[in-house]
Amino acid sequence: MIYIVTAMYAEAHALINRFQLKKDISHTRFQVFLNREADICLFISGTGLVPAAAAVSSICTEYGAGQGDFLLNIGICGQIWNKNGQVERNDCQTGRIFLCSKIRELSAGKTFYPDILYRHGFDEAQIITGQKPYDKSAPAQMEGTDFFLYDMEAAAVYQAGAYYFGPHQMSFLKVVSDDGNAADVTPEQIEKLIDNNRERLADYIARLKDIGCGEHQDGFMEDAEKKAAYEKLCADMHCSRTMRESLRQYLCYHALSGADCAPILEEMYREGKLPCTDKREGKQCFEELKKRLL
Amino acid sequence: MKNLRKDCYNPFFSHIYVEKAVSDHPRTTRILRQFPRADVILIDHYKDVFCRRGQDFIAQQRAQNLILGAKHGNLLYKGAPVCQSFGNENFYYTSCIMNCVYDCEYCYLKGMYPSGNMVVFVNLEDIWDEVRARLNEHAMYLCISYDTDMMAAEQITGYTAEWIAFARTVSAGAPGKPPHPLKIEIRTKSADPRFWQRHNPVPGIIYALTLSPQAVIDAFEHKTPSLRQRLASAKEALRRGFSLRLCFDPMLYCKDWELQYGEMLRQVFEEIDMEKIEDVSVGTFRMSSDYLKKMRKCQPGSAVVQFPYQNDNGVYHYSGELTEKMEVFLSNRLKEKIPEEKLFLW
Repeated sequence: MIYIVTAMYAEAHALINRFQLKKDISHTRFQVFLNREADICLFISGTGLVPAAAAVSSICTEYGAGQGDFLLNIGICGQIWNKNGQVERNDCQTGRIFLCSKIRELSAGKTFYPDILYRHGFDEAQIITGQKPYDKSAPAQMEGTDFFLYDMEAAAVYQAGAYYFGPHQMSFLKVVSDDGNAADVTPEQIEKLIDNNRERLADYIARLKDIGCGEHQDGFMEDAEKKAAYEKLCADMHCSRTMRESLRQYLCYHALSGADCAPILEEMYREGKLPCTDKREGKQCFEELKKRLL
Repeated sequence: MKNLRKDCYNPFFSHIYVEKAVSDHPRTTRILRQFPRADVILIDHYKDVFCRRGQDFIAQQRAQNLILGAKHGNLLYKGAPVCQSFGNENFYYTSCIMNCVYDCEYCYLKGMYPSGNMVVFVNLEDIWDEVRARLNEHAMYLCISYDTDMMAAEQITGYTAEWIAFARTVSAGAPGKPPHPLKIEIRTKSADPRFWQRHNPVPGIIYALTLSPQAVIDAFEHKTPSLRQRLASAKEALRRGFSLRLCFDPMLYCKDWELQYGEMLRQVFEEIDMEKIEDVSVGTFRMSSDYLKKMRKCQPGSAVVQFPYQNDNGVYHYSGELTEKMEVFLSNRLKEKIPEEKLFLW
């Protein structure tokens, strides 16, 4: 599943339309929008660190987020006027979208690094997450940093998300809305900023879905037929817990080495060695099976 | 057919994380110069990136990034009990690079490190100071390419050349050399014949080349040179007078292992003058249980890590019977070409 968290409805609007997400009315604390077919779950946290962390934690627990899933934090951000930074960026690049490669929580001074493993078409930037809106009249708080963007959720989303996702499963995509006058930005303008980047975001989401993380699942046990055969074999050999695990390992290796265990097992059933009458016979049978499988 | 999933990943070293404290270090500058298109991200400490929670070693290795930092604390480690000391006392190893540009499915690094990214420590002088200090107390056998393949990363780091230069300063005859000798092992699967042409042999440096049957290379040693390339490189090394060790370690089981290892030895004996070889090591696969458990989790589709090994005292290995069969087979064949005292069996 692709989990998308935005702070405000205005940031979510274009994505809800683009992915034809339907509101899940069973939720009361956070607004959740789903498209099960597209495997996308979007939720709106509210503005700030605590709401962002609470929403990520609540939704990811409820939906059982984890391996194979991705968490995207999409929203608007401010552009920092950094007089002491290495790069002077005096023109506000409103509407430009960035993928964040470094996130710093301003109050705690903690820094987080989401992995940037997958190809993407965005510029990359570093972001500071603060507790209150960025105020360019008080730039001293940013002096000496190499950060370029400012928001109020990314660091919290990362920290809460890290309980469910690895750093390769989290992406932070931010569209510049202002350079320190966030209060002047209207919901309509926010909707438009995200909408203008809608297709690029959709492309990136499609790529993440392609990649998936399913590669690391246990291929042997995923196959229902094989799993049923394994369970039958365990029962027929009266396997203890240790034997079950050992048998699983043998069958898994046998399959991975490109062989088919069915003929071997069929032969053992034909020879009357399977099913076994008790545990003692089961152990002997397992020893023989191990030899045949290698 | 093109692998679409593979195309989804960034190219190698697209991102380079640099500790602020070493951002101006000459080695940092030299390495960064080779990657002008990389995004450079400044960090406080290499562990801030390398030791993050929940990393995916395999995914990271597909789009491997580089971390440049300084190593502090313990710079030399005592050789692990599962490693071959070749009869040397005071067996140490050092890690000035962590992780590898090669991708061998059975490599213990996949179980040992939390990240697939490569870390290069730029403060070699600190390690050398500690080596010198130890050499004032006793002789030393030091493996410098254990937690990486240093020669495979030579174009990026130039570290093998730097270690050669260091070894020369502490070798016999060098002015102000320490009182005890240093023996260095550089283990590799790389096969760049130009390396042997660019350098000269230095007493005390042994190059340890790992050889595997081509079928094993194809199946498990991704991105490594072929057996033929490795043998051509070994031949050139010997021709130029370098001290060479051949490592048939780890030997890996497959249905037709006798055929595969027999064929490999045929090629080795055809290409290599075994009389010129320093020594040879033979050992079947073995791995700490903690590492293998982690490797099994992150590589569910790898036959070599999913093999039903036997666990004895926290070390996974083949059954005693199979281990003996495989090691005796290879040793007996090798003994036909080298004296027994040159053969080190795990």
